[in-house]
Amino acid sequence: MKCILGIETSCDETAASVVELTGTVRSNVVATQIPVHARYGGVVPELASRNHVMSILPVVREALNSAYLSWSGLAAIAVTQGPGLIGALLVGIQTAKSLAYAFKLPLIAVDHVEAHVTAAMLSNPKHPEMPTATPPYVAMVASGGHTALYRVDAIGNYTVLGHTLDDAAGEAFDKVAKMMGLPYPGGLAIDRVSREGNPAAIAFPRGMMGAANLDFSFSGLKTAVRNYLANRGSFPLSSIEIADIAASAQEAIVDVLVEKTIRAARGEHVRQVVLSGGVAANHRLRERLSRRCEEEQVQVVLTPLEYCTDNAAMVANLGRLFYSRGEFTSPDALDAYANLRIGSPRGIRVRESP
Amino acid sequence: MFFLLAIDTCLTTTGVALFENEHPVAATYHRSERQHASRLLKDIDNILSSRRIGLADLKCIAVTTGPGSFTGLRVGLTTAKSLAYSHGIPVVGVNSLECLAHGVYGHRGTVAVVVDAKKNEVYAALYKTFDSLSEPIEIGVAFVDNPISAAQRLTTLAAGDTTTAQSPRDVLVVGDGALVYADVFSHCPFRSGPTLWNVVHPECVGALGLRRFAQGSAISWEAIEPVYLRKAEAELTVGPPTGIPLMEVRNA
Repeated sequence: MKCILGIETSCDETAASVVELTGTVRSNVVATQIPVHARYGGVVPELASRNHVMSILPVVREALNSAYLSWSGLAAIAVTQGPGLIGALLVGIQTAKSLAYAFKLPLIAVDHVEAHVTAAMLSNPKHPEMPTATPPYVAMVASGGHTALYRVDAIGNYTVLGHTLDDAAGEAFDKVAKMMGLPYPGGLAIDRVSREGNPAAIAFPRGMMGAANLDFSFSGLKTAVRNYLANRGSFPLSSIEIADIAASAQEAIVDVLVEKTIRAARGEHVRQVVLSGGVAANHRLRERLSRRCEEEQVQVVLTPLEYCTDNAAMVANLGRLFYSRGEFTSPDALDAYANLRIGSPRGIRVRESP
Repeated sequence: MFFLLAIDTCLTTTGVALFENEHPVAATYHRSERQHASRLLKDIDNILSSRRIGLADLKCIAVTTGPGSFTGLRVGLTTAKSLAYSHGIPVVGVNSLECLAHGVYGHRGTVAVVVDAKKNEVYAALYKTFDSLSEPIEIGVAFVDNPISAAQRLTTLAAGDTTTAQSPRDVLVVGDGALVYADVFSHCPFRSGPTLWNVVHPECVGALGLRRFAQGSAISWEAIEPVYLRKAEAELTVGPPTGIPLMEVRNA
């Protein structure tokens, strides 16, 4: 069975993956730069690029090795062309172009957000009972850089139903965590400490919950947490307090994400709801969305944890779907786009292998 | 037949050259477009095709590892590493400033290389050059600094070099930095050369690469590292990173 090699370097994860044309993931390798950026409390773009240069080929080699595949077993190389950090994207793109040239393989440019939206089309070997995403469905993509709801009718056919007007959900998690002095990355820290806390302890605002549209706003929550911390005085936070603030802030974010996703599913009359993106790894969000979907009798598809945070399996997956339609990207036209918008792939798509 | 491919994307140009045994047989360079990336592989393909050879025929890849534009040098380095990895070709890293010094063919004396590093800084180094057969020798260490301090440091370095009995007037300055910061460098006692010497000629990358290869300095693509000279902004204000990337195999 021929395979697609996926390459992803849009932010701080250097990733490569081998996926069979049928959708079976043969390997999924990620060199995480969390230890590099931890000191700065956020991703430093230049350091991300510098680390991608040194990590990308060892990661690609490991992806092939752990898939027990040689280069002759590949049908194409898929690579993220945006949105993301321009310098970081360029490392992945130049690697993909060079390897495609060296091994005479066709290239497929992939949109990072589109890859998140369609990641649940991969089979989930750890939870074979979990259905795979089948259009039409509503997808909630929540991560450190993006928060939006999409209607997916087919590969390449997406409608944006709503999106954040300010911070992304993951950004809100990270900022709240930082204010409480929790370790980087904040989303993960809040997920952990909130398990001991009371989600109803503090009534933080649910931004735009009452609005008739499907947009989001998380900047109010950030301010509310800052004010709460300022008003309680400067004495040190107890672990119980941290847990309560974390659980309450998390609940405010989860409430809005879940309710707007359910509203979208109702409005669009779809049978499936897909949760994806780095924030989709949050246990409370997974739990709450599953419960609400059950009540609404909508099938929920939780993207497997390893395909939620940035990874190349989702890139290879989208690559295989384009491959099956005979759609490739001309290497001369393949470039990085920091602000790529879903559904508007840049670069020239050519029918059949170039 | 011995073939060496030279790649340079560090400064303002994208350059490729091919050496057959010790002879340069093809070379091309052009002013880089926005991201250096678009034409590099096409140029490589054209040059290899012009000699009817492929990557499998290459015995060595020489690449400039910096200093220069961060994005630019990463494009060249990533390409060199990827091609080397694909066909098991050894790699030689060459300093971009040294290539500029080597470009002053036949000049005997001292060459100050000054390259615009943007943000009101220059990359600079001082070299002693002999003739076209010898490679330049670095006097002191390449550095990044503001143009005024850089000019002072280069003058001091040149004056302190007792191996060449010459006045600072005999120091030749090359690279675009002396043009960009002409207000500073016009007050230096240095002489400037023709603009032909302000760009990296890919043949110089190849010539230095060839020499290093013969000296046994070619290494694996994995060991080739970029030379940035300048730290990332966050490193200057906060400090160096306290961790390194962690590779995880997340196979199901």
